[in-house]
Amino acid sequence: MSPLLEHTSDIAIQAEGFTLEEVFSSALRQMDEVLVPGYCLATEHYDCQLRIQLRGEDPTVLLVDFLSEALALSYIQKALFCYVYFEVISEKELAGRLYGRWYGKLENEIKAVTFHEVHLRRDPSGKWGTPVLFDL
Amino acid sequence: MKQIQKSDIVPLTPYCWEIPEDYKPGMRVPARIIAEEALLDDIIGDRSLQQLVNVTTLPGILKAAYVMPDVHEGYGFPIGGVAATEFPDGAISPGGIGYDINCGVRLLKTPLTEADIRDKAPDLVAELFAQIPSGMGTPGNFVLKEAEMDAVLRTGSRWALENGYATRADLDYTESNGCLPGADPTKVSQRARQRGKDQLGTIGSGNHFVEVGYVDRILQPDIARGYGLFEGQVTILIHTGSRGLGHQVATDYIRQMVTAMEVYGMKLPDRELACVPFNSREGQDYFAAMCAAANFAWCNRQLVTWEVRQVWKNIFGPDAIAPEVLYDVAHNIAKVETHEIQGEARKVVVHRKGATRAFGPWHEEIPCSHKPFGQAVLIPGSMGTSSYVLAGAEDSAHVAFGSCCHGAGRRLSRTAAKKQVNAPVLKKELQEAGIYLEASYRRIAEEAPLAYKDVDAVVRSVSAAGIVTPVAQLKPLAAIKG
Repeated sequence: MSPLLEHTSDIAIQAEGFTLEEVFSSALRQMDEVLVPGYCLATEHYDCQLRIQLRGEDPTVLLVDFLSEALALSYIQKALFCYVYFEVISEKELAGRLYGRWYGKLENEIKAVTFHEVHLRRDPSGKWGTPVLFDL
Repeated sequence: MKQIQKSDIVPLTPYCWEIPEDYKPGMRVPARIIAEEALLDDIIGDRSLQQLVNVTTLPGILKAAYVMPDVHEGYGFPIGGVAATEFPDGAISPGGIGYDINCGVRLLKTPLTEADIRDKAPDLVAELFAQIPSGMGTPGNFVLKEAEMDAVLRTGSRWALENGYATRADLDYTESNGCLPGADPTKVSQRARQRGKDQLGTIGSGNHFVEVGYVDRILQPDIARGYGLFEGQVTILIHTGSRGLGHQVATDYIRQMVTAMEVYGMKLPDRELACVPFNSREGQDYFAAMCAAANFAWCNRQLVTWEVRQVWKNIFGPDAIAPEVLYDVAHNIAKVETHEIQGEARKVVVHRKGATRAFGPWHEEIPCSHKPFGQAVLIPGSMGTSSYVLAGAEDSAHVAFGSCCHGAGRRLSRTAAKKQVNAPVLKKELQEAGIYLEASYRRIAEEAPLAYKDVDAVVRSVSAAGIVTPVAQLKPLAAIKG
């Protein structure tokens, strides 16, 4: 798990990976870790699954949309979506299933996934990466 | 973006500083900082001033972009920022209001004194913690059906009045009487409604709280008397907002605007500043949804007030006089207001993100009995330190569109605070000082006084800048945190 980035009032993570699937999965795991530290790591089964399908103008918008969708579903379903299976993932669209485990109480409330300074791009080694700031 | 240095900043007065318009290409107005010099040195330490400079690039921004002395780094706009844009075709930016639409503070006053309740403070805080849902995942005591949700979104605190959870006086002493008229429930997404349907009467998480305190010092006796405050008086401070409903409204519309702003040819240095013209379809839809979320927040603080009153009766008996609302004020909101700009009265869209409205005496939007004194401005301190009641001053409108600070202002990240604070020790120390807390150790560490600026210096700055008159200093007795 990447360490959290410093920010005065909120929490930022670094999402990264050599494929978009890795980046999106890593960002989801880190978001879950903020909501309830350790909860997903200890998960042995899932209580629910939901279909997810999104389109965005570019991979940055798609990433923010994906996390925002997973966050809203977490609050509504009262489940932490610890795992995502992608049937399709490209720079402008994704489709797949989110697998969740019900929770009793969250440790931290993330109000929203922000667009602040998020820019998903590849470095010279081909690795994708971007910081993502959560409003707490 | 390069770090702003003190040499880039020009003093206008000892409490107002300016980054001139020519500091960076794209700035449309100067950026101004309200703070005494010692606080300014702190402010330069994070990236809030770079964010303020970005705000000056908003289309239609007028006069200057401002930050208050409690400013700290946010996302897009800094927290503690104020910007006014031209009405009707200047920008409206949801990021300039924040995700917690109409997060705000309400102060209740009671007829009891600190001496009357000190022995009961531990029972009182335990009962508040038991009766007022806090934290995340705990549903509230009110679950709304669709039609009820529509009514709350349209009428705010009036819904609480019509259903027996408020008094007429509660609404009279709430900013905008607890209801913005432009609200349109049809502009609030199904997802936002789902997130909010069981969250009325809850305080949520983070820095939200219900705090029992008392008036430690009267600083301006005439105004204090006018507000019904006296030394030793027990008060209750409530800090919460529009909960998940408001967060989702902001998420939905920032997303829309990220795409729409290109259509309007608006280009900004940070996507989180996404905006559209106020009078565009997207701008009007957002404003109608924001007003609805603001109404939800006022209804929420009203229902928390009702829960506090229930607790009050449980502890002090069924005949105990219920706490009364002194005032309720928003600190994350956009409003259409009239302000004087270059000698001319103009309608503008004022964005306040972590900033409180602070209108001076006789303003038409102030409750009748407060008119001679100016609008009450409520400034919560950090856990264990003072809070303040201030009054909007005559000159307030000329400084920063009638706006003031909203709290002490964070100076340490949550992670840094957790590294530096031993929460069990702090809890014990506070208890020995007569302050009882119901909160997790994690929250106590994150919200420890050392994580915040010196609220006394913040209040000194806004007072010396001519925005407010300090009226009373409050000390905490007990608090619950989410």
